[in-house]
Amino acid sequence: MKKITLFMITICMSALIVSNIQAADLGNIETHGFISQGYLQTDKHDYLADTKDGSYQFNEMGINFNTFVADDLKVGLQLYARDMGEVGNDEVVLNWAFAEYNWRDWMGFRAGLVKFALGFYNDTRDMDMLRTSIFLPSSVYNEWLRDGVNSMKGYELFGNISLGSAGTLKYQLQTGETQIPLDSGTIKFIEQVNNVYRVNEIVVNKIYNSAVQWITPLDGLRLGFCYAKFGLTQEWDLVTDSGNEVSFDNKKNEYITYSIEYTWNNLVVAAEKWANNREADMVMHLDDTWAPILTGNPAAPANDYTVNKDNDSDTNYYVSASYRFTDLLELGTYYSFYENNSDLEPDTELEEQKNELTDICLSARFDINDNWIIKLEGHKMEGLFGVQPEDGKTFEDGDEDWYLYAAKMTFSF
Amino acid sequence: MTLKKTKLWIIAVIVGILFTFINPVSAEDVVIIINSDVPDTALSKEDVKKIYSGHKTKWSNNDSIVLTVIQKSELHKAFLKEFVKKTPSQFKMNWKHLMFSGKGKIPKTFNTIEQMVDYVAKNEGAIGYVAASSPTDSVKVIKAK
Repeated sequence: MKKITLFMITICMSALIVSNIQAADLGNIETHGFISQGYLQTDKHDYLADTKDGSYQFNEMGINFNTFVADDLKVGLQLYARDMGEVGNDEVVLNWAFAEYNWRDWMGFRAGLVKFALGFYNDTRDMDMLRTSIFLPSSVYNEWLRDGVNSMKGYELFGNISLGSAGTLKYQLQTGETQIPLDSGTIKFIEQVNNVYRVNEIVVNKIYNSAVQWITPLDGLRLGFCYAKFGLTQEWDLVTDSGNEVSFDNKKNEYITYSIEYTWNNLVVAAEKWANNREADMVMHLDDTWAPILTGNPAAPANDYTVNKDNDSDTNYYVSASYRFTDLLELGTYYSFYENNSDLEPDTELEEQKNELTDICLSARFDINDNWIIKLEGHKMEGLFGVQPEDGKTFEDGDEDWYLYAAKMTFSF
Repeated sequence: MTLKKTKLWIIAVIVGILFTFINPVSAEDVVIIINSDVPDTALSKEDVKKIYSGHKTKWSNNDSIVLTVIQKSELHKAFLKEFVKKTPSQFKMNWKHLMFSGKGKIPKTFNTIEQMVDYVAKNEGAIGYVAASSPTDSVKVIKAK
């Protein structure tokens, strides 16, 4: 077990020894943290880790510090580490770190590393003790892309505008940029889905993000909308270190989410839809060997070839429900559908399945006490998007139906 | 029926009878208390809901609102049901969501009404809730409507 994991377990177990713990108060600095260890198993294929053989490479841990340096001025940060197969490997990173000036209810300001507003649950997707299920629905919250939409360096204007009897309007306006680490899940995902040898660089810049939530007058009902527009710089090596590279002249990149959630007593139902609209001129720098292969023209010479990639996605959504039966037990379920709108028409049903993932999930959450939860979860999957065949194998017809089982234990304080 | 089963049934009946005589705190029994220096003299139920949901963080004079709660009690459940429209679990998750995203602070938590009243009396901007029968001389009482 890695040293950082032992260190975090020690911190959390020490916290659990103290009864009714809410936070560790280090003077005026409030501290909270969590550690979460899981296990993944699939009956076929590998998903997120070497799951066909069963994998414990599935954990998260974090600790945050907050303090008020003046009446309306707060500073805080959260250190975070996770492991998911080959991603993360328990490397400690800054999850968020910002100063917040809360001038009025209707206007405040944040600067630093701020959480990216996307849907209802992106800002806390790293902390599964805040929801029923282990995995958020992948149609909107793709696990591979988590580190790409976690946070951004920049600024945020936020506020809660009272609408009187019409409820409250919460808003966030963000601008900034983020550089995606080369060992991230996002990079591995792009390489896998696009069959690319290596992604050399991805920078997400000129991010303009807006998120609004309407807390309606109907108790328990809230609606949300997010729109993000951003620039994207990418460079890929198509095949080995041959110099056959791809760069992108980005024209459009948008994330749009629609969200609805209704809470009635112990029942919570939610639905979200996500669209990723993108257009870019893909400039391929190809040599004599690869120009004929990749252009489909046997006579194509070494040259720069520009292909316009214009993809709109509009079929990614989920619906979910959860119910708390007792202080101990909460059950949840969701149906999630994702389709990758590739501009390459699939020739076979197997190729079509590689662009889709349908996930029916059933979760059980056990709150042992305020600081300790256990979750068990099963997923019936149809589709192969983001999925790897087992070592030494390739996908065959009929492989699109498979199961994922997950268990997780989380301590928090 | 065996003697053991009979005894178990008797115990179950007694416990059931006892529960019928235990009156859970009703909504009418809960009143809102605030620090005496807070200028606001009236709060609607909607205001209390917004405050305890984290949507309203300032008093009318722009001083910060300091939230207090009583831990795991019938009073807490009754307060949440009547004013915040959340179960205790949902309330806790909402504040943990705010705290772990850096956007909020977990409310100050107390085990007894006396501790809460004492804190609200001594801390500017503090708000809490008590049973109507509780002594509240040191704080301002508001009947939210």
